[in-house]
Amino acid sequence: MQPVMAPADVRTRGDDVLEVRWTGPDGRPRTARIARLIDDWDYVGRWWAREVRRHYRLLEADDGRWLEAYREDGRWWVSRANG
Amino acid sequence: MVGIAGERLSALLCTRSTFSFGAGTATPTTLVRRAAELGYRSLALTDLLNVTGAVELFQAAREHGLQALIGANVPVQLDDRDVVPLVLLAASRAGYATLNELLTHAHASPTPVVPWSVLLAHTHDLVCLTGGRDGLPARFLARRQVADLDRRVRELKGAFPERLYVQLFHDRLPWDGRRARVLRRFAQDVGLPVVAAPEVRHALASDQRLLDALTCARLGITVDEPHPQRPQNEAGALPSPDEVQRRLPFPEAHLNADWVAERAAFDLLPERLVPPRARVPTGLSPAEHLERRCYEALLQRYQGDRLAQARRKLEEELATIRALGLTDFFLVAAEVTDHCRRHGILAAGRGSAAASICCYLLGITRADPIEHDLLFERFLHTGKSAMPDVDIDVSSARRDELLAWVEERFGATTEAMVANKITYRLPLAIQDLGRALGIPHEQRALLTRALGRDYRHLSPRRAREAAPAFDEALGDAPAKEALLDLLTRMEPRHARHLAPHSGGVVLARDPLTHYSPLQRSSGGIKLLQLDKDDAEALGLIKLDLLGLRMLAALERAREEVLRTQGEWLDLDRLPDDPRVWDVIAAGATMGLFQIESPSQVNTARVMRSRTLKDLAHQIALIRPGPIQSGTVHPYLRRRQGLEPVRYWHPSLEPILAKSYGVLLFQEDVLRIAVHFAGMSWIEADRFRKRVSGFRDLADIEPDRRSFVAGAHRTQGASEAEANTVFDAIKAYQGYGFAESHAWAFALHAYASAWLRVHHPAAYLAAILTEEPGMWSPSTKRQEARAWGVPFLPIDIDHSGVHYRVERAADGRWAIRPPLTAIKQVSLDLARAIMCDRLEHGPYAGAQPAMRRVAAPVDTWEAIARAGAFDATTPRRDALYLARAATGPPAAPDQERLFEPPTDVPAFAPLTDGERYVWDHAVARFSSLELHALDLVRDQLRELGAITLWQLRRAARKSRHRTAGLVVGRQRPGTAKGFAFFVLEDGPTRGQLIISPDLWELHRVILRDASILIADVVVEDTGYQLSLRAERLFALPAPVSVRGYHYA
Repeated sequence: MQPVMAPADVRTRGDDVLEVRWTGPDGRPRTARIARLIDDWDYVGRWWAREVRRHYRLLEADDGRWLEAYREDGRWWVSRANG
Repeated sequence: MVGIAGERLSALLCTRSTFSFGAGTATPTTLVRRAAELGYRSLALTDLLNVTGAVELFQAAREHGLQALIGANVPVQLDDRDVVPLVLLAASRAGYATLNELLTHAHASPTPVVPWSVLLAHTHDLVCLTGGRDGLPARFLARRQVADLDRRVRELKGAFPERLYVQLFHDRLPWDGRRARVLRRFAQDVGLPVVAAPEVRHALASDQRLLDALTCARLGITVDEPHPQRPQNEAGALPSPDEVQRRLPFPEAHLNADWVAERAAFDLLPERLVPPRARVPTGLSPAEHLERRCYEALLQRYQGDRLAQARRKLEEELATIRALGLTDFFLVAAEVTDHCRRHGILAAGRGSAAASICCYLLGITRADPIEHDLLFERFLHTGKSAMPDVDIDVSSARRDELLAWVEERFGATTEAMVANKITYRLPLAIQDLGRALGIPHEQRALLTRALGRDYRHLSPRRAREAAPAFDEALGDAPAKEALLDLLTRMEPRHARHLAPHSGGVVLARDPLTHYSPLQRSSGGIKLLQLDKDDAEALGLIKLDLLGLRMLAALERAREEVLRTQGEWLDLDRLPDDPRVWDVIAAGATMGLFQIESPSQVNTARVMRSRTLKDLAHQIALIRPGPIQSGTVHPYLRRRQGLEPVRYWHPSLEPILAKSYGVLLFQEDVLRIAVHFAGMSWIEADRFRKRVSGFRDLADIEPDRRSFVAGAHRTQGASEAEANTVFDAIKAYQGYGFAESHAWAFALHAYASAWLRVHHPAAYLAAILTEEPGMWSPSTKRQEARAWGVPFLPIDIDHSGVHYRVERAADGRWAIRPPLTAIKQVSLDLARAIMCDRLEHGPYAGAQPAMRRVAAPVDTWEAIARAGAFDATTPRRDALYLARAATGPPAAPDQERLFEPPTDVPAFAPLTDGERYVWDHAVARFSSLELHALDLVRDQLRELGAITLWQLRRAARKSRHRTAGLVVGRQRPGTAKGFAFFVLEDGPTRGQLIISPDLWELHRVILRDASILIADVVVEDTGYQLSLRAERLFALPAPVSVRGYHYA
């Protein structure tokens, strides 16, 4: 997977992520319809300055691509993706 | 018995508390409380390499209806490369002993780990979990070392048959879900059960930041540095069973956790210890030997009516001792004091044991309990559940020697000291957490200093009360809020490390690993991982061998008298001397045992003690218990006949007549509970402990009701009378003396006063060397002027290691300070100089000394500055030579490469003032007959300040301006915000009373000033000059004295 670090629009149902849209490094919009959740984890750090609190998800799209997205302060980001 | 709860996890098998020292943030009690709130039924405490929290765990679990399990996280050395943590749980009392043996083994090595082979040989009744993220399977599978893993696991399976479990965990880190599935599949492959065991490190999610900061502090890094051991999220918080089920959805892992909890359940607390075996003559049982020793001494010490009375008391005590199975214990305590006597070690029993005639007849204690009517039941009675404490004060200079003998006599595995759990106070927490936050050392030091006497005793949780100090030291620094936030998250009893107790030695018949692991302190002392309360809860027998500096001083004074005058003093049989009582009654008690504080001096002048009983009362009177119960003033007024003696109820007269109708001793509370309120001794003992230590009035309301009802039933007391008595007992909070204890201390106090009167130089040399009490060497040196004892200078040809007595030129006995009084001179160097002098003769000059003895240049400079060459070489010359004399000394047959110069430029000689300042810069006093205020006398006169000595004769309530060097600062919690400073001017001292308003106005001056100028109202004159401050300011001082500071 390649680093992305782009804001994302995410469609969810409950805790499940259904679709992720973001802008790729080349400026073109990307969309991934999510087939399954592979893994998820938490990061809480930098509490001594401005606390960072993220919930990460490793997702597989219906076309077989993987992407890593996280939610922080109510906003979604794609941190890494392939394809 | 724990039942199987189904698929929902009901047992936490892997939790760490603050006793993992930097790797956990919750106390065992908090973990238990939180687990109970979330519906768990069992909790295992598995701290890193220790079981220090075991007793607290079991007590808390009992209170919250949980099943406690005890274990530990044990790092195991596989080979040169790998150390893996295993979680070992004790499945029985025997398993607990096995665990303790393993932990003892680990602590015996420089890096505390258990070798693999040792682990495999010590598995009896232990359940083994394979560990979390760093555990054996997780680590080896990650490295794909499947064959190695297989071999190790097979060995473990053989060592822990049906007691080995593969631990499943989920720390909400990447791939933890997959890791759990892989571990589960591995377990199936090797035929092992899995167990769900999340690794708990804090109670609440919000405590993660504290855990992170403590982890950084432990690792010696700042929060800006990454480290794999730092928590990445809040997964270390105690999880709900539902959350565990979500993360580890393997039903059998949850069932197995419950099953492990069921099989590892046992109760640690009811165990009682058999006392260590006493040595008895052949053909006698311990009971016969005890009785024989006591009856022989009885006939020697008592005659007539008193003999009959003493015999009755002895018979009662012996019956109690037999009933409690403590015969051997008394004989062992006697063996210790016998050893001290045979080897000239001053030792004396104190505390409640001094009420026992048995202890008195065995020579453990020195106060006669019959003569002084002391209450044995405070020490021991047949209903007492806790073991008796026998406290023996020992000369501090020889305590290590005694401890070495105790270890040799009782065996290396059955003797150890109890530990102190050192908990965080604000200064220590600021150091640890501040360092982790990257706050520089200088700022941390500034903050610690700014805390001063007002805040340094606060627990970290109350850090925000010290906001002025944080503002002063850290200003608007961003780290300030982060530090305050962390501090306020710390639990009040957050433990930082273990340290040796001041004297509690546990002696057992069985190996102590049955109760606790053993480890060595940094000073090499063998320690249990239990504090004194834990030891008592486990039924361990403890002897307190407390190093008492005053006993060392008495011993040293006795030796000085023998050395200089050839007289051996029997300190147990000193004559009653009116001159000694005159000194005590006048309040001239500086340097005397227990009666040298300003409050004691005040009391001494009112009491005018003339007997040991007076002295025992005087010592007991100025304690928090009597002060808070309003005892002091009625006692003193009634004693002087200024008000009539009154009793709260006529039936209390036999109990309180000796103390003029007020509560003075702990025994008074017990006797009132028994004779006035009709309680048994057991009930009275519990009542005293509850009512003297309550935090919330509601907690003791049932005690009030039963006390009032009992008093009405037993003595016909009205509700109002009984309530008045109860209120007085309730007010007797905090620390009060047992009467027996006060008597034991009165004997030492009298001995110190007797030596001060009859051998002042020897006594002064002794207290300067051993430093008992509260006053600095500088203040003692000033006091020497009042005692008429001259001081000789430090001299390279005459000074040694300790303060010594020498004849002065005028024939008086004088004090010769030692070389070690110079801050830079170590004990070893002082000894080297003494040995060199003995071998090659005196130096007769600075250069020969520097040539013959190897020492760093700055040490020779300090010796020169201290005037140790004054007899042969002027100070500035000696200092010049010291700076020039570099390099090691030449061997006798060799030339030095660089010889020190022999020509010294012509320097001006030092003035007395300069000598005084130089003395104080390198030592803590000056031998000169000068005081710091003598150097600023002109300024003080300019400001209109008169001397403290002049104020001694001023009229009461008159107003003056005066000044003094601050040598004591005290702001006791019982004084409603008032502070008491001691000002010194030469040998004259005065107490300065500072109101709360003035304190707030001058907080920084009062914290930092060396010389205070004060506008005062004279409250009392004479020896104890007492001054009420109305206005304060500071004068820069040429020297400062580190006096005593009590909050």
